Amino acid sequence: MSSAQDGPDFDQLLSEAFTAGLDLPADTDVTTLAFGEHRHWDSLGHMSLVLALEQTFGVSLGDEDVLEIGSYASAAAVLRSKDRAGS
Amino acid sequence: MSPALLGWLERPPSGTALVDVRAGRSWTYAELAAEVLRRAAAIAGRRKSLVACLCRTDAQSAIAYLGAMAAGHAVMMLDGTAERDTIGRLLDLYQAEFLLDGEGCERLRVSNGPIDDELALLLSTSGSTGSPKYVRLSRHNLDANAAQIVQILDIDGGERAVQALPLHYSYGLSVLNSHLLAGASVVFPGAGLVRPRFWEAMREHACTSLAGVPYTYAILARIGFEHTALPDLRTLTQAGGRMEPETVLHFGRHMIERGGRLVVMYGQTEATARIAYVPPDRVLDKPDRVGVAVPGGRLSLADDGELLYEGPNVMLGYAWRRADLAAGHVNGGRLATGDLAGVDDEGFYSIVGRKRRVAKLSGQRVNLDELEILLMGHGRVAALELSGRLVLVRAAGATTPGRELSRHAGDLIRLPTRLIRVLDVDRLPLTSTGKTDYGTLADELAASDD
Repeated sequence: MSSAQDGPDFDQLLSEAFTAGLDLPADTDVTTLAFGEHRHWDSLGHMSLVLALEQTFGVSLGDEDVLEIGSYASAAAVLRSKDRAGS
Repeated sequence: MSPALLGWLERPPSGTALVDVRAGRSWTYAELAAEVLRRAAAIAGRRKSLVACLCRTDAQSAIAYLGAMAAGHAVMMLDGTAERDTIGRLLDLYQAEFLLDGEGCERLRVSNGPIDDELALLLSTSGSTGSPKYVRLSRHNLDANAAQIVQILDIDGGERAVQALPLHYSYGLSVLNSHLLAGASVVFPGAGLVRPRFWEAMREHACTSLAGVPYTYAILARIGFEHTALPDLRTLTQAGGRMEPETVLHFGRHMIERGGRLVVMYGQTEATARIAYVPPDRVLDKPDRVGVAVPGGRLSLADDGELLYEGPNVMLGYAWRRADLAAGHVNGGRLATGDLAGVDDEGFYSIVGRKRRVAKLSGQRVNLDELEILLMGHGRVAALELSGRLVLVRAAGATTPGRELSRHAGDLIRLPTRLIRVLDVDRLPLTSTGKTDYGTLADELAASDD
């Protein structure tokens, strides 16, 4: 069974999780986002984003993952590593 | 006579005053004094002016603020991350003569109306960045409250606070003021709590204390703070709203294990910053209290249960526009807090509710009455809090799309729109005097939810 982390819809799902988690208009280009560079992505927004990522991908993010995620690219890397680890 | 906040300008203590990790710079007290006096000279003038300071959590914002204070002007602290339009409206409303933005300094207009001799600082009270309501504070207020905080936290020259809260927020500014008064250091970490750099900065610069609001503690619990090595950390402080007693107990016990302490405090911008605190050796048996008054202050209860505070840190009064800056004291050192409280047999106070309509949403205090006024352009809106969400209710026939109303409200109070619901009802229930009847409205909404 193919999981969300390696399916063709991975980027689509990740974009939606970012839009929902950071409360952004649907047409925002989220792939270039990084912590602190958008008004909505502060510490408060970060916690909401983490929740959205967990819900969208059905994973549980640990302490270190929460700190590791600092951009769209690092979020993608963390989620892909979850899949490889089989979690 | 309390020691003066800027006393170090004339006799700088040895040691570091400020560290800015992102800028890769630090300032000794002597260097800071020279820099502050240089900034003050650039805006010096015979007439007292209003200097608006765009605050970011960095050393340059702190230096700009100190420079404007040293010049003897009145300083208005603005959220440096707010929308330009919002900032522009406030600058117009208050006719600010200067705008300080980091190292930049812009003269906006020539002198524009009298300012009371005592007025030193304007701070916003509400989470609504667009709200024109500001608290007027004197140098005496600032000196007194900084000295009170130094005393309750026992801050000495060896302390190094990490500045995790914004400077335009009274609690955040009180961290800077109290540490400068004590000749201690303040470290600007250049990153948010959820970035590894924040914790590296705390370790590298041997920070001894961290100040947080309830939301900070929710983040700390989520990022494994309990397992983070911070060998120099001794003190956590908490203020900015009620924290769950379980959370107080958890962090209170954890800090004891680390050989440190958790200090729970209570305050309002109207009292400069701090009003009460729980002595740290009592935090485990009084986790649901706001504690006792800070030194030199006095708490009491009004007949209706409202918590009253008297002390040298009580504001001069409020301001809504430039003309209000000419006013002097209107409170006589007494403050009705708007909180309903109780007191136990040992004299420890606890907050049991709010007298006014203020919601705590996502950690921010939102004055619902003010928000309704700011949203009036969309027609009559009733704002209320229901189970942690902001609910905006309006009578049928409103023309603004609900999504637009919710986005506007979200921008004003910095609340994610997923925490805002817009509801259209047939009509808004009114009291006999024509005001919105919130009790009935809440009952109606609860009934229609079933």
